[in-house]
Amino acid sequence: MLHTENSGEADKELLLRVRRGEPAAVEMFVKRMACVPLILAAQNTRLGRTLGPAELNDASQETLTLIWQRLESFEGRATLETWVYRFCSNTLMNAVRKLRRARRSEVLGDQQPDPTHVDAETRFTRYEHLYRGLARLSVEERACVQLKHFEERTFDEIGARLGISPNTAKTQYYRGLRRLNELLAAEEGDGK
Amino acid sequence: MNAHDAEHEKLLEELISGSKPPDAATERRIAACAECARIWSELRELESRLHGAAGEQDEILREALATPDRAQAEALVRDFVARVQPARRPKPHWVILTSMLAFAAAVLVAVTLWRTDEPGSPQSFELHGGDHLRITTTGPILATLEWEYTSEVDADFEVIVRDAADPSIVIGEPKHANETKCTWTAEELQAWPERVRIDVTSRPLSGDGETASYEGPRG
Repeated sequence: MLHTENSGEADKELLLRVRRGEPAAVEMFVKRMACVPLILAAQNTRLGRTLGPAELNDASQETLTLIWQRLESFEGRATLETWVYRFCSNTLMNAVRKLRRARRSEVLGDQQPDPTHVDAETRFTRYEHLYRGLARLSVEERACVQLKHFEERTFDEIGARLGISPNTAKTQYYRGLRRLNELLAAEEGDGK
Repeated sequence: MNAHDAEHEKLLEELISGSKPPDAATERRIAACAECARIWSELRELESRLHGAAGEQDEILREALATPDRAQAEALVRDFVARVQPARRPKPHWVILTSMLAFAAAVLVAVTLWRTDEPGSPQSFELHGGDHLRITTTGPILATLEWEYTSEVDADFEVIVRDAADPSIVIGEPKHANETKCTWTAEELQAWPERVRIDVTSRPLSGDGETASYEGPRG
C-alpha cells in the first residue's frame, strides 16, 4: 500500500497551488508527474511492449494533457500517483486498441500475439470497466469501495476518514458494490 | 426462506461487510434464496476483481516509483508544463474585470432569451428521471439546475457534473443540496465543457435513492 494518512489532502492543496501558478508547487508537480511516463512504460511492458518508444511518448503527452485539464476534479481521496494511474491506464489501452486496428488493416494474421500478453490486455480492459464503473458511483459509495480495496482500510478507518459511522460506511460499501455490479453487468453482459 | 426482501438484503450487507461470519447456517439461508445466492456469488467475484485491480495497480505504481533514473521522465513532464503553463499566468486585473462583465452580460442575455420560451433552440438536451425525481430545468444550464422531488420520504441530494462526451470524467467537486436546486459560480461554469451531463441523486432517509440526469449544453 503506497498511501500515507492525509496525503491525498496534501496533494489536493498542491494542485490548488499549481493552478495558481506557484513556481515551487509547479516544480513539485513536475517531479511527481514523472511517474506518468514510468507508469505507462510499466503497463506497456506487461502488455508485451505493444507500443514503441514514439507511441509511448505520445501516450505520455496525451495523459499529461488529460491530467492538466482535470486538475480541478482531483478529490484528494488518494495520492496524486493513484489518481493519475487511471488516466495512464485508459490512455494506454486506447493507444493499444488503435494500434491493433491499424495493424489488423495492414497485415491480417501475420503475427499472432503472445497469449500471456493477450491475458494481460483482457485483464487491463476489465480494470478499465471497473474504474469507469467506480467513477459512476456516488461520492461516498466510491470512497468506501476505493478505501476498502485500494487502500485496505477497515470500516472504522473509512468511517473516521469520511466523517461517518462505521455502520454507514458498511452500508455505503454494500450499496456501492451492488451498483458497481449492475454497471459492470450492463457494460460487459454475461461475459463479466 | 421467503421471497428476496429487505431482511435478505440486510443479511447480505452484513456478510459482505464482514459484520456477520459466513457460517454453515447462514450459507444454508443464502442457498435457499436464488436471488441471495446470485448476489452473494456475484459480489464475492466483484470483490476478488477489485482486489486484483488494486494489487496490480499497487505493483505497477511501486515499480514506476522505484525506477532509479527519472531524469528523462522529468524532462518530458517539464517540457509539457512549460508549454501549457503560460496560459495559466495570472491575468491583469482589468482583464479579469472585463471577462467577468462579459460573462455576466452573456448570462443576462441568455436568461432573457430563455425566459421568453422561444422554441427551437439549436442545442439539444435530454432529461432522464425516476418515479419521484425529475429535472425541471429545460434549457441550457446557466447557473442553476432545478428538479422536482415528490417522494414523502425526506431526502437530500448529491449533484455531480460530468463531461457529456465521457461521463466517467467528473467536473469539479460533487455538490450536496438540501433543497431542490443547485447553483454554480461563474468560475465553476467556466471550467465546464461545452456539453455536460448532470446527475442528481436523491439520498432519502430510508429506502433507495433515485438518479435523474440532465444532458445538454452548459449555456
